[in-house]
Amino acid sequence: MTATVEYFFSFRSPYSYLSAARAFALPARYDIELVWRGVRPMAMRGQPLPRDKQLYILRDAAREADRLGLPFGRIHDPLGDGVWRCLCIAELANQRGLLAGFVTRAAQAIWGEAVEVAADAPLRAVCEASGLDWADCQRAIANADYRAQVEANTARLAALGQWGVPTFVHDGEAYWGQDRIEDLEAALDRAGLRRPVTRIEGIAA
Amino acid sequence: MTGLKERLRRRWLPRLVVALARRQRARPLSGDAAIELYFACDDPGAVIALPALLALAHAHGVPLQLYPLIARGIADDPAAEARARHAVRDADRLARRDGRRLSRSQPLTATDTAFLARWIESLRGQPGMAAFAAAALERLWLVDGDTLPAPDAYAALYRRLTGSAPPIAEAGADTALAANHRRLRRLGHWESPAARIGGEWFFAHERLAQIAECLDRRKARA
Repeated sequence: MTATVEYFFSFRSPYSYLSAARAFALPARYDIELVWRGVRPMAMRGQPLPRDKQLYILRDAAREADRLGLPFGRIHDPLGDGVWRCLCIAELANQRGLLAGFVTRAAQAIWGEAVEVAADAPLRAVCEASGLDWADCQRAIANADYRAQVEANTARLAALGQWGVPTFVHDGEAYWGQDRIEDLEAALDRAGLRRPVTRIEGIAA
Repeated sequence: MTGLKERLRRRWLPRLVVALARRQRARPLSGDAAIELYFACDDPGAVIALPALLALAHAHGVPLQLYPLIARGIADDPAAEARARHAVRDADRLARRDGRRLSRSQPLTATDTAFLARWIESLRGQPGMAAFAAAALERLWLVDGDTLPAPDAYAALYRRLTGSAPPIAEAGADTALAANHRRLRRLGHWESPAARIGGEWFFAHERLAQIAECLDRRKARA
């Protein structure tokens, strides 16, 4: 049976954005199934977010993005409708095998390119760049089952005793933060889940 | 008007915050700069932050100023208990990165460790402050196991490292600890362990490499 890593993600979280590329690369390096859990943001589930904390998160995320070489700072906060639209389209993308492309593209659009994902035209460009059909995405946005799945994901995060994102859950342990992926990887290594390195012809070891 | 306000809130203010933060990071550090560390003894992140900051401060010739806390965190935070439980597991994994392990598996409360915060604060301006704080945190989180900290055992540590007995009167220390918390909030942070260097904040237990980079960069420009 394949080991699983649940990946709790919010489009309103800059740290989720910073984690995305590394998170979606994990199954190539480890024998795991990465289970997508898109959730409502803290501000849409009753968690207080004082001004000092909001400011720290923006400043720290900028520092981390610069270290990781990711675009950051041209922001359009998607809180509300923009978040819901991205979460529903992510569910569709997951069914179509296009999840990594959509999530990384949409998150970069929000946090690095000031794309207003609550508006149709800019969101359509993001979806189509990810290989998704816009008409399908419009149906996904109105799909009650997708919204119910997001609510179930959000409830599962709370049931696990967690509150923040990105959070990774493997073997009953929760790893909260884009900067805790290395601890998750250490656990995956200890569990013997690292895939053997494929030797490439013509490249000296 | 609503559209303009929305655009300001969603787009321009976050952009301004990020731009100003980047500008601040590029600014040289003043000659009298110090590392300020605000920490709570019941926060396991403190045992990761303090020894590492002591080493960084020594290596860069920068003073480390300690501000112990009893009060911290977000008022009425519904996730406070979950945070406290998670912080212990998380600090154990951070300790494991450099070959250490936490001996404690359950969270402590501010009340459990308040006597340590008072004793550390009582050493302000004395050479033994950092040494006692580091030794007490190490014993508390890496040695004691899940027992509640016993003041007698820590009193012996205090005497060994400072040459005197810990203070009995606590009213002055409580006033000073409250002032530390007010200072933390006034300067724009809310939690432990928070390090401030030249006006820039870091969660010290998880941004040690960034703090080192900050000190390196600024030393080169100073």
